[in-house]
This record gives sequence, structure tokens and C-alpha cells, in this order.
Amino acid sequence: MSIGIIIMRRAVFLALALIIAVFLTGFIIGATGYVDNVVKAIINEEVRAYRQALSKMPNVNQSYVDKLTRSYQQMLVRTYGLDKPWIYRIIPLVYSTLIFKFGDVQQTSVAEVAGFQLPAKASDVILACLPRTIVMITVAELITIVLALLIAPRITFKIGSLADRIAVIYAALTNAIPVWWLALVMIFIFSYRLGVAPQQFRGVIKVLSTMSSAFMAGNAVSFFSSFGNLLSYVWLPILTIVITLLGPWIYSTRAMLLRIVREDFVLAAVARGLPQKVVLRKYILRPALSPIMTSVLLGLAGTLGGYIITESVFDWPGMGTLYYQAIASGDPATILGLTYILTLVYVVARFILEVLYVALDPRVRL
Amino acid sequence: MADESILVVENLKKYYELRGSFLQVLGLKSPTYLKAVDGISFSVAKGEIFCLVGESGCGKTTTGKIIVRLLEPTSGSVLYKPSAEARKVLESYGYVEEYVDIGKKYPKDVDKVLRREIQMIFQDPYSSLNPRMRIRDILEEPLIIHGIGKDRAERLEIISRALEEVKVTPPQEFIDRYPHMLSGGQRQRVAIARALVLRPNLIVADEPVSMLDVSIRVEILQLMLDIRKSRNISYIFITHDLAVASYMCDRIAVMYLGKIVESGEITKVINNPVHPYTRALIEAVPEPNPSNRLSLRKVDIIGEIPSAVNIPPGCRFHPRCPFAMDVCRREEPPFIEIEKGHYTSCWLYHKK
Amino acid sequence: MMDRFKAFLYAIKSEVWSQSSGKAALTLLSSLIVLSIVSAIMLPPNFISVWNDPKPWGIKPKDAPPQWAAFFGYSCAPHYEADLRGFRYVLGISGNEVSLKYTLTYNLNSKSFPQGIAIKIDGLSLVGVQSFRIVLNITRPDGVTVPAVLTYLITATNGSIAITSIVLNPDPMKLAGTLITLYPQLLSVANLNDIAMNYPTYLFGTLTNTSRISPLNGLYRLELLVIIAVPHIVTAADVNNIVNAFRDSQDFRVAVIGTCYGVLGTDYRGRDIGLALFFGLPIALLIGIGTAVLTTLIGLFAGLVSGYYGGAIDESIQRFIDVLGSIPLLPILILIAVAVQQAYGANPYKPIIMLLVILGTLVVFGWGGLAIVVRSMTLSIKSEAYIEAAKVAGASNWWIMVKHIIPQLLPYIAAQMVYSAPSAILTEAGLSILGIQHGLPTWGGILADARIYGNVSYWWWIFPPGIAISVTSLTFVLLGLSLERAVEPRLRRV
Repeated sequence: MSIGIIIMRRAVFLALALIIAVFLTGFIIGATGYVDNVVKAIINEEVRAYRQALSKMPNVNQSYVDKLTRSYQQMLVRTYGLDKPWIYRIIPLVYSTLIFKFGDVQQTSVAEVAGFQLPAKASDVILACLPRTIVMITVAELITIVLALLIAPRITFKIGSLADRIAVIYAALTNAIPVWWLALVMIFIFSYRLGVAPQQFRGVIKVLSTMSSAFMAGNAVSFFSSFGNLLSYVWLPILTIVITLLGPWIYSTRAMLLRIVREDFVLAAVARGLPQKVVLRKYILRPALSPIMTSVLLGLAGTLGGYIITESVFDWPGMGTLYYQAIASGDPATILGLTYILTLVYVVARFILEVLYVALDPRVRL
Repeated sequence: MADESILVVENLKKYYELRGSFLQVLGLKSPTYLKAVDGISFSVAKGEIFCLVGESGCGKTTTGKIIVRLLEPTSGSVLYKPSAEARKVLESYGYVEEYVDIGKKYPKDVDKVLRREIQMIFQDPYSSLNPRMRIRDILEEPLIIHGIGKDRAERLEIISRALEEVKVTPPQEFIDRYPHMLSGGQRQRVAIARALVLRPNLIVADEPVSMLDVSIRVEILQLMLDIRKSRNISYIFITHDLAVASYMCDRIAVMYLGKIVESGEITKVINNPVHPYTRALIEAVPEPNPSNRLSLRKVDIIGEIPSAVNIPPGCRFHPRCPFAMDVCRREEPPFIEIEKGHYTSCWLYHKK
Repeated sequence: MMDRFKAFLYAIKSEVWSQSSGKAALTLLSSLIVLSIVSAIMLPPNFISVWNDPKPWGIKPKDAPPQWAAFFGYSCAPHYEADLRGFRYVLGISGNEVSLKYTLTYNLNSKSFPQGIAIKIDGLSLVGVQSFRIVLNITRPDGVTVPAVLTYLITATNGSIAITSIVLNPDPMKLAGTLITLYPQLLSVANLNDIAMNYPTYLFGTLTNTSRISPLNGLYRLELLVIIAVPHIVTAADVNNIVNAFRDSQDFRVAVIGTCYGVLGTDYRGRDIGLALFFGLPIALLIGIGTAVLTTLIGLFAGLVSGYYGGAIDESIQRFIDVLGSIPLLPILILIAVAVQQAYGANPYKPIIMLLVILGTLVVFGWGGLAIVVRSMTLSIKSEAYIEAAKVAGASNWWIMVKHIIPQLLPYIAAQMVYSAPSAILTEAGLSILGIQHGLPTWGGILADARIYGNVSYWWWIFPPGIAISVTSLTFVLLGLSLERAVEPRLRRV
């Protein structure tokens, strides 16, 4: 099969996967009817307020109030689309999400995560949260990856040595410890016992906005002083994530390299008397490039969604917290928008990988 | 001859479809075919050893696998004459002809009976025995599948007898061993025993000694000859080694790129090879006597065997043939009898 | 077949045991299993409802660190609890009243105040009586007696009194009034409301020179009077009847609620965290192992079918896995869990349904990775000559898969299964942390309570559940590591 067909087929299937993911989310929202419950609650609240306002008016007749209230309620039910089956409400919503028209945020708590007030657009809310997740989660993952790629090759030639054993035990330990629990412990120790880290992390919203306006204004002093401020917020979450992710990253990189170390061509290179550094660079790291690249790219793509639980433990106003808040309070536009964006990023990352595979690996070309 | 044949293969073809280009995937262009077996015919008599000889890639193993029903033919027929025992089952399903085409699909019970009668010995005794099973489990497996022996003890009895027959003795010492605890020769004997426990009428032996040490090859070949004598079994013996073929066979067929180029009684073909390819093969057999070494090299075939996807037009051997003529490039030679029981397809022998 | 399987297991075991991580894993695993069996046997059948019922925990300290915290500088007011059913009493009879007088002592020697006083009565039934009254007087170390710290009166309906479960506490306003009468100087530091709100501080405290209240250490004498009136002059039968009723009650105890409790402390309702951790163990193992087994079985089956049959089946299974893999699992899981939580709001089986839905979702989304590995292994095994040999021998597809392919896959499958066990435990706990509460006393549930109702400084509430989760996960991770090494010689040390 020619390269073009392979790539096109993959593109079609990945696009299909993307659409299915958004539809599935929409169906869960719709079929379980839980957003309906939220909407009903909103309607009831509005109707109650309407009735109260009406009855405060002087000399109104009770039956007239009832009648007005009823027609107001029917109007609301129609506006929210509750008079039609859920499928008629969800399909247009899913469709408009797929063409990047995300709709409006309905819940105050969702807008608050972004630091906004209602009315707000779901796309604006998501864009506001994205940089906060990048400065925390994505940066943490990047640091972890760099450390792992520095450490793992050093222990690959020394299987069974003390350093190797420590690395494996560390990996096993951190694999077992949930990152959000370590987050709780870190907050307990550093924020409450030692008092060297903030207890509230929502303040990062202000720091980031100061930073961006200082950047726009070209005010270097203000920019760098806010950068220091930013560091005071991010160091604890980043440290927590790096501690827990480093072990598994070292272990999996080590496993990838080990698979190659045992190959005949590496043995042949060692037997030819090539220095270890050359063997490592030319014969081990180069073939290991594509599996490592896969996990790096997919790992980084995954960070954009934020780590929902970890962000929520730190009360970090990023994508993860936004996602959770949207789900918990029932905000369809934000849920669908986030699902779409995140799946899109993942799918695009996978597609890039597949193209790179074909481009980098001569064997894939038939 | 036909009435005593146990197997008659007629115009057997096995093609593999290759859908390479985009148009082919969409079905807008006819697919390319890999012609592994391209229309061969032969028959095997009861108690006969029939050899298929050729280089690797000539389709001889594919033919063998079609006969044991591991592969389905693309077209042509493989007519097999079942034993009296199998007849009963076949007749109860309404198959009353003397021969059944085993290239077709049958109901489960019929299928089982037919499978039981045609067994195979594989080339590599190291991979044809499951490394995680003991010898007894390997030999018991076909018995359980076919419901032979009413209990474990009876099956063990059958297994022991089979092991004795292939001279893996004493059986008690071997049945609990794993394949890796046996030598290559012993493994191949076990593989033969596995074929024998089902009491087949026809065994397809696919290069059964090519992976073995030269020193034990003759023992295995002799064992197979002994079994033929005691059980009157027919063999289809697949090999690339003409020396082995001349030791074993009654009749031989030489294959080249999916076609039989020469066939006949073994003595006739070996002593009087007519097709240039057969002659080249025979002359390539190492001659132990150094004084004869140079005198025999007369036919020099050129180059490598072409791919079965791009079969040359006309005689498929012509690009490598030192005697190629114009007609060879244009037309496929017919299969003709040049003496009694000796056939070839070569324009050199075609009398106008 | 069976003896071969045993031999195979034995070989794996000895291979695992030969590694130090394997030794640690097997030791941990066997102790976890023994512990969870003990716990499952001891688990009261109604533990979940008891756990969610505030009454049984009413006489326990709330938010209390464990007792051994005292060694690390915590000032613990001791917790005192006396089961009165077996306690010595003085019997008094006058007219139509029978009284039982219990005298107890409480020794306060701490810088902290106790949390309060409570009496708990379960399953008491008195027949042929008029009324039942309780009066608790406390004599403080300074010799002053505080009368009627706690009083309770119940009159009979149709001559009988039945108490299923009750926890009695002092009436704060009344007690505050009494304390002000006895110690008028208290008004210099607090008003009636303050005293009522914090009655234990004033009941067990004294005014220091610096106008502050500090604990009054020393012996407190608790005098508990139980007075039962009968409709006529008391007879011997009445006395017998009443004494038996108290002896046969399910529980009758008085407590001076301290500030430290148990092996692992208590939560915001006074529930014993150690107890929950202990009974949470079999639940955690069940969640982990159950999910892992199901995920593995589906992955094995799908991968096997995909690799063995190939063609359209293979293509569709692989594409399905692609789609599953692209869907963000955690958000979908949260979405489903939240939806179920709302849909089953009032259903008594909600906790179980939620847990099952969460685990079911994990299974549905979890089998893809394994299926891919199994498929590629099946592809390579399928091309072995012994598979062809089995086909020639007449083996069906089913036979070949069961007898030839699965046995080869088994060790890898086992390692994968062990690896995937902790993920379900961690995810369940993670969802609880987010506040998706099913209400079962799982380890995640306790941690979630700590986040919602607790305070970050309640270390005894945050550390033990996390450590329990981590140790259990670590067991499976170590076991997976050594199993992997046992079956994959390439990973063995050279």
C-alpha cells in the first residue's frame, strides 16, 4: 500500500474517532438527563422570582398572577428546549461544537473558574484556563521528560547496579502513590506546617493577567517581578508532579532502551570497541527515538486537559478544574467544547506521529 | 492407473491477490496475482512415494499444504479416494462418488474424517512440536480430537505403540519429556509418530530431513520406507534435494515457478533428464568423487528464480535457460510424453 | 492438566520469589490477603449502615488524633468510657421508685479540655413502669459538685418504655446557668452563651490568675442516678425486673469524651478511621482485582479473536480500540458518575450502583491496550509450525486458541493483570477526592471526607488512607515487576 493511502486512512479513522468522542459525550449528557435536571432547577428558580416580582405589584389578582406565571414558565421551557426530546437539543449542540461554535456558559461556578462573570462564552473560558494549565502541568511534564531522558540512558548500561535498582524501586514507589494524595501531603507540609507555599492557589489568575499586561506594555520590571510571583505559586504543584511522574518516565524510557541494548547490532558495535557514548548515541538513542517521541508527544498533548484530580486538589484554576466544574454543575457547552478541543489535540498529535513514523522509518515504506 | 490412484490432482492453482495501488484498492483496476501454484496435475498411487522437487519458492510446499487442507486452492481439483472406513461416514452425508474433492468445504464430521486420512510431517521438528507440551500431550492431542481410544490408558497404549514404531524406545522414558529434551532426530520421529497415530493413508512429508544432521537423515528416511512397507501408506515427499528424492521416490515431479516441468518414474528422470532445468538440478548435486566433479557440469542456468508475481511470458524458464529459442519467449510449451511414463514441457522436445 | 498447571504456578512462584522485589511483593500480598480475610470475617453485615448512622459514634471524640499522638507532644484529654451493664451500683428503694446509683471517676491530666459528656443507651426495654429518669452529677477536683450536668426523663406509654438507640448530652444552656451560679466569676471572661457553646471548657476548666480558662486537672467524680418509677409500691419482682432489663440491654454506657482516640483517630463524626481502613481493605482488593480480572479477560478475548481470525474482524476491533483510546477517559468517567449520582439520588442501593457503574466504565475503556499486545503475540504464535500441525491433526479454531495460544499468553497476561489492579483502586479513590461520593467507607471515601469535612492539619485523617492505597498499589506494582521479569527473560539482569 502506498504511503499516501496509509496516511489518508489513518486521518479518516482519527477524524471519525474525534467525532465519536464528542457525540458520545453529548449522548451521555443527553440520555442521562442530568443537564435537564439542572435546567429544570434554573427554570424553577426563575419562575419563582417572576412570581414574587408579580405579587409585589399593587392590587393584582391571584388568578392573573397564576396565569402569567404559567405562560412565563412555558416560554422558558420552550427557550431551553425542554419541550422536545433530548436528542433534538443535543444533536445541534454537538454539531455546533464540531464547527467550533461552542455556545455560552450557563453556570456561574464554571465562569468563576476562569475568573469571569456571566454571560461568558465557553471558548473564552477555555482559552482563559489554558495558559494556567500550561504553566503548571505542561511545564511539570516537560521538566519530568527532560530529567528522565537525562537519567535513563545513564543507567541503561548498568542493569542491576545500585543506581539502576534505586531507579526501579523509585519508579515502583511513585507508580503506587497517587499524585493527588502526594499533593494533599505536600500542601499539608509546605503550605500549612512550614508555611513556605501558598494555601490558596486561585491567586495565580491575577499574577498571570498582570504578567500578560506587563508583557503587552513592554514593562520588563513589572513582568519579571510577576514572574517571581508566578514561581511562588507554581513551585509546589510542579514539584509534586515531577516527583510522582519521574519514576514511571525513567522506568519506561529505560525499558525502551533496554529492548534495543540487547539487539545484535548494538552488541556488534560494542564488540567493535566503539566508545560507550558513541554506541549510546548512534546505536541506541537513534532507534529508540520513535517510541520515545511517541510517549513525549502524547504525554504533552495529554497535559493540556490538565490533571483533573490534581488541579482540583490544589484548587488550581486550569483546564482540569474547569472540566470538573463544568461536569459537576452541568454546563453542556463547556463540557462538549473541552472534550472536543482535548480530543482534537490528542488526535492531531497521533496523526503527526504517524506521519513522522513514515517519514523517519525507512522500513515502513513498502 | 487412475483406478489405483489414491490422489489425483488436476490443474491445481493457488493465486494470492495483491491490491497494491489505490485504484486496485477501490476495485477500479484488476488486482495483481502472486501465482504460487499455476495449474499442476499429478496422481499418487496407493503405497507409492511421489516426490515434488524444486527450488524454494517453486510452489511445492503450497501444493503440500493444499493437499493436507491447510490452504484452499484457487481452482482445480484435488480428488482423494477415501478408505472404506471413511466411506461410511461420507455416504451417510450423501457423498457417494469414489473420489472426493478435498479442495472443497465439507460438514464438520466429514471434514474430520478426511483430515484424519491425510497427515503431514513438517520440515522443522523444532517448531512443529509445541515447546510447552510433553511428548504424551503432543501425541495424545490428535487422538482426543478424533475420539480415538476410550480412555486415557487406551490412548497411552496407542501412543506407546506409535513411539515403538518410530523407534523412540523405551516409550515410558520419553512420554513425559518436553521437546527440547530430545535430539533433532528424536523430535522428527515423534513428529512422524504424531502423523501415524491417526492411521492415515497418505502422508505429505515437507522436507522432513532437511533440518536434520546429515548423519541421521538416512535413518529417518529408512524409517519412513519401513512404515510404507508395513502400512502400505502413500507419501507425497517434498524436497529440494535430488539425492534424497532418488533414495525415496517411486515417481518424481520437478516444479519450477508453480508448474511441473518434468515428471516420471524416478530412474527415468534421474538417468535421462530431459528438461534443461532438471538437468541443471541433477548436475548441481555435489559429487562425492572428485574426479567426476568437473566433467558433469554441462548446463549452466543463469541468475535467480524470478518472483511469482512477474512470471515471464512463454516458457517461464526461458530467461535462465541456456537453450532458449524464440518460441520459448512467446508460447508456453505443452506437457508431452517423451517416453512411457516420462513427461516434460519443453519446446526442445516438441516434434512438429 | 491440573498437575501441570500446579507445576507451572510453582515455577512462576519460585522465579518471582528469587527476586527481592518479588519477595517483598509476595510477603505484602499474602499479608494483605490474610488481613482482608480476617476483616471480611469480622465485617458486621450492617457495617455500611452503621457507618453512615451518626448515633453509634455520638460518644466518641470528633476529629481526634490517635492515642499514640500523645507521645509526639499532643496534649490528649483522656477518653473515658464505662459500660454500665457490668458496673457496680448502689440500689435504692423508696416508695414507688427504684434507683441505681453508679459512681465513676475520671482523671484529667492534660493541657486540653475533654470534648464533652454523653450517655448512650441501645435496646433497653422496661415493662410495668411509669417513668425513667437519669441524673448525672459531677464533683470537681476543687470539691464543688455540679448538680444535674445531664438529665433525662421519659414517661411510659401503656406501662412500658422501649429505647432502641439514643445518645444523651447535657443541655448546654441549663448547664451554663448552673456553672454561673456555682462560679459567678466566670462572667468576667464569658457570657452565658459562650459558656453554653463551650460547656466542656468551663465544666472541666478553672479561671487562672491571668483571667484565662485552663483545664482543672485532677479526679472528677461522676455520680449517675438512674431512677425508675413503678405504678405501685416497689416489690422484689419490680427490682428484679428492672435490674434484668438494664443487664439485658444492648448497650448502656457513659463517656467523658476525650480528645484522642483509637489506633488511627476519628473523623468529623467521631467515626473510627482505623476501623474504616480495616474494613475498607477487602473492598479495595475486590475493586482492584475484580476490575483487573474483567479488563484482562475482555482484552485477552478481543486480542485473541482479532489476531487469530484477522480480516474484517481484526480491522473492526482495532478501529474500535482506536476510538476508545482517543476518548478522554477521566472526564467521561466523571460525567457518568455525576449523572448516576443524580439519577439515583434517593435510591438505597445508590452506593453500590455508583461503584459498579464506575468500575464498569473502567472496564469498558480499559481493555484496549492489552488487546493490542495480545493480538500481536497471537499473530506471532499463530505462524508457528505446531499450530499448522494441530490443524492438520484436525484441531478446531477453538481448540487451537485454548490449548496452544492461551497457554503461551498466560504469563504475560498474568503480569498485565497484576499491573492493572491498582489503577482501579486509584481511580475510585481519585473520583472520591473530586467529591463524587458513593457513600461507601472506601479508602478514597475517607480521604474525600478529610478534604471536605476535615482540615488539612488533620494528618491522621489524610496520611493513613493514602498510605493504605499506596501500599496496596505498591504490592501489585512490585508483583507485576517481578512477574514480568520472570516471564520476559530479556528484562532479567545479565
